[in-house]
Amino acid sequence: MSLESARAEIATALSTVAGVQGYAKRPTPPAEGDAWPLWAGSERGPGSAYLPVWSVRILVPQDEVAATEWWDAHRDAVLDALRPVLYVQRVAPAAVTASGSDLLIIEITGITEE
Amino acid sequence: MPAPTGAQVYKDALIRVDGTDYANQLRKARLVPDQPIQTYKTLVPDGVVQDTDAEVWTFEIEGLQINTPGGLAAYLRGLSNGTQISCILQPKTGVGQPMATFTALALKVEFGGEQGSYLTKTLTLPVIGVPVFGTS
Repeated sequence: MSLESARAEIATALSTVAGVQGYAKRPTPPAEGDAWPLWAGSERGPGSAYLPVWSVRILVPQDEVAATEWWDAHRDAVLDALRPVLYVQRVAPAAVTASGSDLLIIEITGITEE
Repeated sequence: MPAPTGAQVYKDALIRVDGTDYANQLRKARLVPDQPIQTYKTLVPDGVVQDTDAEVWTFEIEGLQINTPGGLAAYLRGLSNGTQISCILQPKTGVGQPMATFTALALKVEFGGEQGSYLTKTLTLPVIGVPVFGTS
């Protein structure tokens, strides 16, 4: 599987969750509930296969309390949807740089095939 | 050379024991063949005679030690050692995926663990005969 197809699979899986819209690449401008994968490097695997690491970003409400409640409501569905396409290693809140100010996101780090 | 097709990261498996799927409690599940090789070297160049035994399979599992109802640890602990359990190992869920069907023998599970970490279990179960490999 190529990086392009892995990106598309992750986006499709994210879109199956109510309240989440998956994109293969970062939409401009991203809106609440938008989610996209960002390639974060590949480790050499067995044979000629590589293990790409993905940083999946989900834009949550920009208020801490609202973001907490949003993630409480969507966490299980997001992780269930990703299970067939991504081996999740870590889930954590983070911020991405945007023009003007940082945007609060949930960052899901995982690996898949390449 | 391009990356091979069919390479898979083990992440969405089906591991069924007596009709219940325990994949969400396990981090490792694999069937391992033990197949000793006999080698005899004779007094001529390249004089090597080799023979292989029929394989004996074991089912290695490792995962959470859940001691409440619904846990695989609790289920196995409730069985007598040697009770036959029907197992299915399918590395990737879905239809048309490779799978192995086999009968293993139950063993007792460890109880307890280390402070500050999840309770875990590690088991190697003997398999009766040879697993049947097919597709889902």
